[in-house]
Amino acid sequence: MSFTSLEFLLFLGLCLSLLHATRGLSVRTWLLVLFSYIFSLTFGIGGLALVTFLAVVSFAIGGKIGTAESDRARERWLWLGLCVNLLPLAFFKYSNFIASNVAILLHPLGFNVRVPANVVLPIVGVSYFTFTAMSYLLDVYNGKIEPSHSVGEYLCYIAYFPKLIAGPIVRAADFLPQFRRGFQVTAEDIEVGFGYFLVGAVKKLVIADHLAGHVSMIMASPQHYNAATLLQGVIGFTVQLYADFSGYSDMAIGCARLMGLKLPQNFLMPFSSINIAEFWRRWHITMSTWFRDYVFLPLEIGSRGMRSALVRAARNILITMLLCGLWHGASWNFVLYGGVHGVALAVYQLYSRVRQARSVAPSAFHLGTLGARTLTLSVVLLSNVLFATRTLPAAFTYFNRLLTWSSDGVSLGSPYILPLTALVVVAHLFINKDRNLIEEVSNYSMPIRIFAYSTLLFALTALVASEAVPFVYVRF
Amino acid sequence: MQPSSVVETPSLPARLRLLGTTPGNARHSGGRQLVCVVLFSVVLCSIANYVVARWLGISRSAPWASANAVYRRVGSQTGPQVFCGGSSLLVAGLDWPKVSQSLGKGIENWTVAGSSPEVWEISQQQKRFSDTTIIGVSVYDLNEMRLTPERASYVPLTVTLADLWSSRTSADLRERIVAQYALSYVRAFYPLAGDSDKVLVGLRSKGAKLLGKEASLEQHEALVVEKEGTLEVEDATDVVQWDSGHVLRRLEVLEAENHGHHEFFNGPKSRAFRRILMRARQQGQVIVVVLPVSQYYVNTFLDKGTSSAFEKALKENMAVAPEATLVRLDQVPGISDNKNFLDLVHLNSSGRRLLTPVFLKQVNEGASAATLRSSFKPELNPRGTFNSQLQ
Repeated sequence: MSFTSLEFLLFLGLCLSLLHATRGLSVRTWLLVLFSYIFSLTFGIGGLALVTFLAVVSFAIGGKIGTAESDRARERWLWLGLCVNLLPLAFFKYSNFIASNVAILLHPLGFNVRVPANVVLPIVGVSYFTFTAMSYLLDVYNGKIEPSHSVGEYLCYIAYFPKLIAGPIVRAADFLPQFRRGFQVTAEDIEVGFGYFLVGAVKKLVIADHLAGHVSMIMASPQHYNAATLLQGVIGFTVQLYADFSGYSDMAIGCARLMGLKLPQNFLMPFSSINIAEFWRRWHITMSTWFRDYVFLPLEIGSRGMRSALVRAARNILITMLLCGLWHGASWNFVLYGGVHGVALAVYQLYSRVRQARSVAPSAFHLGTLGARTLTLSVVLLSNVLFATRTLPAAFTYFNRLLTWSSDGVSLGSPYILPLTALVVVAHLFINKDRNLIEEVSNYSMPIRIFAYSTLLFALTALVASEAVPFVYVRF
Repeated sequence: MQPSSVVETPSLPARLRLLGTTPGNARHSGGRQLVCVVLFSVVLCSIANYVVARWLGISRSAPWASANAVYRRVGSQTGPQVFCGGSSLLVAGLDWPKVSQSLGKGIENWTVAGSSPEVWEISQQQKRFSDTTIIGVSVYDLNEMRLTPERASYVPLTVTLADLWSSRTSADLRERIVAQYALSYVRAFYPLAGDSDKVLVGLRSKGAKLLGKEASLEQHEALVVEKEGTLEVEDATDVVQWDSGHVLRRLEVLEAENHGHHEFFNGPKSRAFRRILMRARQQGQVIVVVLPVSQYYVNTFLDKGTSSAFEKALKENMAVAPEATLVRLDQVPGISDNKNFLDLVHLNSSGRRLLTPVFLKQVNEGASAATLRSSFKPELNPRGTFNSQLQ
């Protein structure tokens, strides 16, 4: 069930009506669990079974960590919980990848192993709800939160339908207390919720879906297109990815807000970033902070014995980003994508520390805001070639034709890519990157609010692409 | 109160910041005002839709009123007429004045852009006195995955639901078809809804006019324009004149329309096609024309499996009208050559010149065979079985 489908709107309407009818009653939490399960069921019984299993097991293990008498026992329960979550993730997401790579490794030794494609069917959202459960266990272990004592609240935390299949990845410390406070809806919540939902729908249905067709044509066979078209393609893909995923996140945040629950922001004007570190603080925020808090920081603490802090940080950044790349997909393209960003972050880290250490004046080596943005976006665009092309040979063909500026090949001339890119660029230029206009608009005067919402509605009615395209990040 | 910064924020000139009250000490104004805001927004959006639709020339019929197809005819207006059921592919596929002259009858057609058998069936039910039916089909027309954009305006919901109930339609396709009816009601308030192609084409034309450059309609991405009047087509450009980018963009539009594949099964289109054939049999001569598509189309969308599925579906559908004349224009040697096409699916004058004589020859041969068949009169014998006896 897609957020942009008619049946989801009916489903959401029914859910909101029943929540409203049961306000003040403790049954509301279980009502949310029921609706979340129904939502999960539309993606297959396997997903529902897995999310239930992981929720129940991690709830129990969280309790055991909280009541364990010794640190060793706590650590053992933690490792058990992490393995219980990582094993299904590895199996459902990486089996085919592991099997095909083992077959490649065995081939030179004379073993011809045939691996059928897609032996294991993937479970939608597995990357998200396993990370949600793992973050809970790690936070309980680190003493950041108490173990939950309410099965209903915990089931809702793991399986909550707006964020189930593509995030945001929510921390228990932010989400569970909202249940204890009763998650009542105010008029402001309703307005802000609708605002988020509308903005998300416009990003997805007007921007992302119009780009999808031409972008996928270019990415499918880059050898046929000239360099100008390939450049358009990667720009279009980057904008499509942003609009699709941030649109989904906005719709998820909007749905939750309509129920009086707050989900964290996932995108904060990432194309306004002036360096790659800032980019990752603004792009897929909940995932990048997850990797920062649960992979990078433990690596940093664990390797404090290393002499060179710079080398240590660079190594840990690279490991973190390689894993981050792998999280995106079971393919060497994604690993390399993570590696590119890891190298870029490490280089930026080195640059920052050198500047700091030598007290270099900002004007020296400073590229200026425009130069810094251009450099940052260039890294993002080039890495997105790996993201979009799915296989290494296709990616290398793309890079080769783009960087050598091949003039042979078809010139596609998409009427959507440049205008929609310009729209997104203008929005990033003129809107302060640290303001959240969706939250603020609800406090403005009535005429401004009417103008804003009617403009969004008009864009939605007049400019929605005629054919809907599935959400991109659901694949992960 | 200044919003907290994530990192160093380069200062923007004040004039570049969006206006608004300072957040922080403002508070929300409450439920009643929210209701007013929502109502006004919805109404303002609806007004804007109507204004822009009028400006761009986009008109809609109310969902509870039957829509009007574009009526075209050629030939004599007296005597029984030929009902021509098909999409613009059929209209572009033959030289209709010549066909009318050869048959000695007037020919009538009601066209809806991108239509398919469910819509032709509605036209057939409304047609005037006719003793000959010509139905034009193709892989494009009979593909169950491609929906007529205005389908819900013509085909009653009850007919659709009955067809969906009785057929092996996938959940995804069922949802798409039913959603069209919901959209038709949304369009009562928002006439631009779900038609971004028309909106964008219209805006581009207006923009071109303002700049003093007339945008050629043939350069647009997806729109098929039907004009009332004579049943014939004027060629503007040929598909061989298109640059590669244009071809690829149009193929992408078709791919999006088809949702990436062609399927031929006992779906709403096949069922409607069979009903058209059965009705047509009762009225007189039935001619089914299978139209070709361009080589671009064939190479992109049709593989062996798809072609076999189409042949199988065609055979099953034709079984309800065994005496119908089946004219396989898609099997004329060399007809799929791109030089015979105006675009990816519509024939041009070169293609019509090739196919019209073939059509007329096969129709005449079919008519002779039909005369021969009708001279066998079936007779019920005492045992209750039929004997045929030459009259």
